Amino acid sequence: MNAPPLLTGSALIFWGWQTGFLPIAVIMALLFELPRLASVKLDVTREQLAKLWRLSSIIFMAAAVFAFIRYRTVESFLMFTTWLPLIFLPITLPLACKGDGRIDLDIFFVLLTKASLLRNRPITLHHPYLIICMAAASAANVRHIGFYAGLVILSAWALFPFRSKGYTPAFWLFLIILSAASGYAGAVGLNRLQGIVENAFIEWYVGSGRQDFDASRTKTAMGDMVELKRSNRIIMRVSGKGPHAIDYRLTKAAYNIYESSFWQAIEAPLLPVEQGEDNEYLLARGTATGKEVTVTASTYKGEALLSLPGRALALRSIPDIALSKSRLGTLSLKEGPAALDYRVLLGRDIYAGAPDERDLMVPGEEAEALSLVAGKLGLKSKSPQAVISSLHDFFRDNFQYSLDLKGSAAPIGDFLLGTRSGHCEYFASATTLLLRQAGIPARYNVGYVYNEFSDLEDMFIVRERNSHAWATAFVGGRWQVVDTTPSIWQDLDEAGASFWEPVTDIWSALSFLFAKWQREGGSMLNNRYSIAAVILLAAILLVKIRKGGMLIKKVAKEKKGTFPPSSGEGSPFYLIESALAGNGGTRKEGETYLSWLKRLEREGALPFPAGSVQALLALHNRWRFDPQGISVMEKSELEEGVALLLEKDKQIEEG
Amino acid sequence: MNRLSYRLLKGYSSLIYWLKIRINPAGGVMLVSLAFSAMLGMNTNMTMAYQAFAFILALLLISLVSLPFFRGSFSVKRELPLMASVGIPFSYRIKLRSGSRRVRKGLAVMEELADPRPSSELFEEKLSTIPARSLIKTVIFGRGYFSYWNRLVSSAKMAEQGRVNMDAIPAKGKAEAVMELTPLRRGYIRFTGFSITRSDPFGLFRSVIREEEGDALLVLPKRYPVPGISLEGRRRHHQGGISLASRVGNADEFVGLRDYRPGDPLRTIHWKSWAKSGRPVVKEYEDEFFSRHALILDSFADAAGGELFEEAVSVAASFASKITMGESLLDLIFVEGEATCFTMGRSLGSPKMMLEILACAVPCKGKSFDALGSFVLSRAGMMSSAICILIKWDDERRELVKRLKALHIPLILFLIVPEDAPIKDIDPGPMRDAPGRFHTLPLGKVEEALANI
Repeated sequence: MNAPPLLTGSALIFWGWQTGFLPIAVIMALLFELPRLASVKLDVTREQLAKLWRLSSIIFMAAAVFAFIRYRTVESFLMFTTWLPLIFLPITLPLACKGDGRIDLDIFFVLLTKASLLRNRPITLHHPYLIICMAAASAANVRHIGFYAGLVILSAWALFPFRSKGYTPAFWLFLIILSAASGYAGAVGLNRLQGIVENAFIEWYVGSGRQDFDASRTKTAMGDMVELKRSNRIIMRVSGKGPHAIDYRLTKAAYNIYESSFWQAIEAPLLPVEQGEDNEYLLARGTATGKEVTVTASTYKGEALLSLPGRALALRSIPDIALSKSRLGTLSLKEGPAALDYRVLLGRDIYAGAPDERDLMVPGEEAEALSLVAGKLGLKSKSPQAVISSLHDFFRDNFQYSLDLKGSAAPIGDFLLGTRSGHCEYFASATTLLLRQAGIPARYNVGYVYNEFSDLEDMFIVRERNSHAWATAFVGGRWQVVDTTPSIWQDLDEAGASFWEPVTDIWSALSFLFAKWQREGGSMLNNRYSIAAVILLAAILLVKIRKGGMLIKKVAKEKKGTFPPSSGEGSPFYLIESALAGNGGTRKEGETYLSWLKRLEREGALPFPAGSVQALLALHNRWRFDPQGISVMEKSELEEGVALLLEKDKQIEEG
Repeated sequence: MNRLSYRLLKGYSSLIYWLKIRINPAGGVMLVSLAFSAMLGMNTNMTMAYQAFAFILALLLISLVSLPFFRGSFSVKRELPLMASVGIPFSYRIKLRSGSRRVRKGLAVMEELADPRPSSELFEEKLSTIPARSLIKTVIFGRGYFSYWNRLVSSAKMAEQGRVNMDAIPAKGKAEAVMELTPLRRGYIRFTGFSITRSDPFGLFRSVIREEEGDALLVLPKRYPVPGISLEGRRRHHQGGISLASRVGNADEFVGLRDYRPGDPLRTIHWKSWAKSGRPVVKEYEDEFFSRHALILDSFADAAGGELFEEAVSVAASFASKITMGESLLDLIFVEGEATCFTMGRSLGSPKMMLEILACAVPCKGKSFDALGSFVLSRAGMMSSAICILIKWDDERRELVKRLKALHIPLILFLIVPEDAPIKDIDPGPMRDAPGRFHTLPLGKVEEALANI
């Protein structure tokens, strides 16, 4: 069924309006509608249609590859979708001007071996093209009521001719309005539903949408880490160049003020880090050791606190990411990709800025317990190194590692004097505060420890449960790590691993490899395998199209250079039949032409030489039955032969 | 496995039929659009296709909701022609009477034909003929059960389903429309009833009310133009003349009485004269000499030879309808369960009757070709000439042809062969001495081959 006049043009203008291709759309609309208004009809052969379809297919593939290489994301698919009305223009436009607007279905399935079965099943492309225009308009994603209004009007316009005659047009219009209204409500509902589902999913997948450590509020609460410590999820991968770093710690954030169970970073704003040459971000000034580690980590909507070794000098990563750093050493990423590889060049020292008076502050509610312990250990009279050593001894000999939390108003005091049991946050906080009590500037650090090497991936993997806290002390003009948590903590945490951890690890490794392949492959063409695949696919397609093309060429010959069998329609041989019928030689019903001619010859009623008529009959039969038809020459031979015989017959009659 | 496949395929066919009746083309396009918009609009923040999805869904739901409201009492009658022919469209009148007090508009009537789905026995029989194929071929190229099922269904389909839109029907009134059908194969088209449909307001789906109305129409086989065949052959002695030739009644002309000679039938004994004379006397009728030709149809098709048999029937029908008999008779001889002979010519039968018989001929199963061979040979004494239409050219058939030739019966032989058979390599065997009387007719080119004779 043909589309109502002006519908295709309107759909194109709607598409142009939504996608910003309005000038092109107007021209296309005119091309579609003017011939119809002027009643111009194009004579397009089947062969030409097949060629045009091949052209459209080639443009389709080229546009798909271009969009994919250019954008490489889901945007490439959407961008490509907005081009669809243009891509299919070469086939739809001539068809629209073809009069009946029909095209054989088999032309579309060049690659299908049984495509010939679909022959003689013509279809029109008006409505599919309308759907394509609307799909393309939707991909432009213009969040405006105009899209819905256009969609409803065009759909109603297209549906009007199909309406049931059993109902009045007014009732039909009422139902369209009802559908439009309920459809709109449904669309709004769908959009909201997606928001709800997405949030629920992220919560389930990422784990309550948490970031492991809080960047925005720059404070951490005692006990937050316990939740992380119960998770086996792999969150980072680390590989190194040269002998590995001295410690296996990756600092994520550092804090200087402790108050009411919270560690906070005060007077430590995040300042932008300038991008240097070779996409290098300089983090500190110092002497390079030539060692480096590469960390692969994911971000949460492009944001993350980056985990760095304390001795990080500089960071190399993809260009154009927004990095900012606090003077305590916390490095924050914004506007980054979903997953990120970064190389960290290592120096000799821990670069965390000079200490100030905040690094010596002890909270009032814990002061009593701290001074009691400091006094007991005689910290004030000891040298800084002796203090550190005695703290190590003190915690190792008197404390136990445990993830069981007991709420308290003064947790450090309770930990030091009462429970003597806790996890790394207690040890690190107590150590930091005791160091301060002894007059040594100290900070509280949180991050991860990496020491689980994966043979599967040939690199270190870092799980959430590897999160850790430790103290850094400023001794002898430089910062050093003071980690008093009993070294057994990792074994104890690991004991909580689930038995299906190996399975989830393999899955995680596979996803990681795939993501890495996608990132490193960059554009699809950088990858050798992809190039090979594309070439192979193109070759197969070419061969197939050529094969299909030959099939169509045969058909094409029928149109161009040959005359197809069509029950001999239009054959000049019928002139002989009517001429003989006029002379009383009528062919009997069901009598074959050959028997008829032989009968006439027997009866002496054949005015022509029997041999020449039978030769013409043979040509006529070939026209009727030969699947290849007859050639132009043979056709003219038939026409001339018939004309000659009839001419002679006429002369004899007149003579 | 086969039973399960049969049930699944049967269910599939039912579903397709059910949907075909209830979904308009516009509805199909809308369903495809719904799926398309669902895919494109999966993320409602990335495209606006979710709005199209919601709108189309609303349209479809409103259409569906309106469907159950179609009610009414209708009666439909059809006025069928006496018979139809394969491939030639025929039209007939449909009368739809409405019992409703309202004017009914936008109704359409669809013919319901007999269920073309094969029985499980037929399906299993067909499956047994499938050559063993690798799983990959079966799965990837779809040459498995599914394609066999489809072939069986389409081979049982007598005509495409007819559909006609009705004009508005006045309250408690009736309307007429002309339905057109094109028979696809010979035999009986069995009509089971009508589906009276009304589209929903948008024209996407149809509500259906079914009306039972059984009927049957005989479809004659396809006929081709055939060459004029001069059936020569001597006239043969037929004792008792034309009446006895047809095995019914007595001869027309009584000539006289004569003494009994061994071999005379008992029915011709004149008992009164025997009683008078004391020796057996028989009545003597005027004997006739006339030509009697045979049209021998080979009906021994195996499961794979169905198409060959169909063409053989068409060729037989073409000759049966075209041969002008004059004073001679034509016997159609074939085996269907048991050997059958139907005679036409003079006053005995008409070509129409012979076509009716051919329209219902089915391949012979469970018997060997010998059943036909021996029957033909038993009648060879009466035959002036014979047209043989064979679908195989094996030793049994060659032997029959050889023996008929040995009896000096002129033969014309038509051999239906598969489309791709190497015609030049076919050995004419006993027909070698008469190449002009041995014709091969490849499937799909039968009309062409007949036209070239």
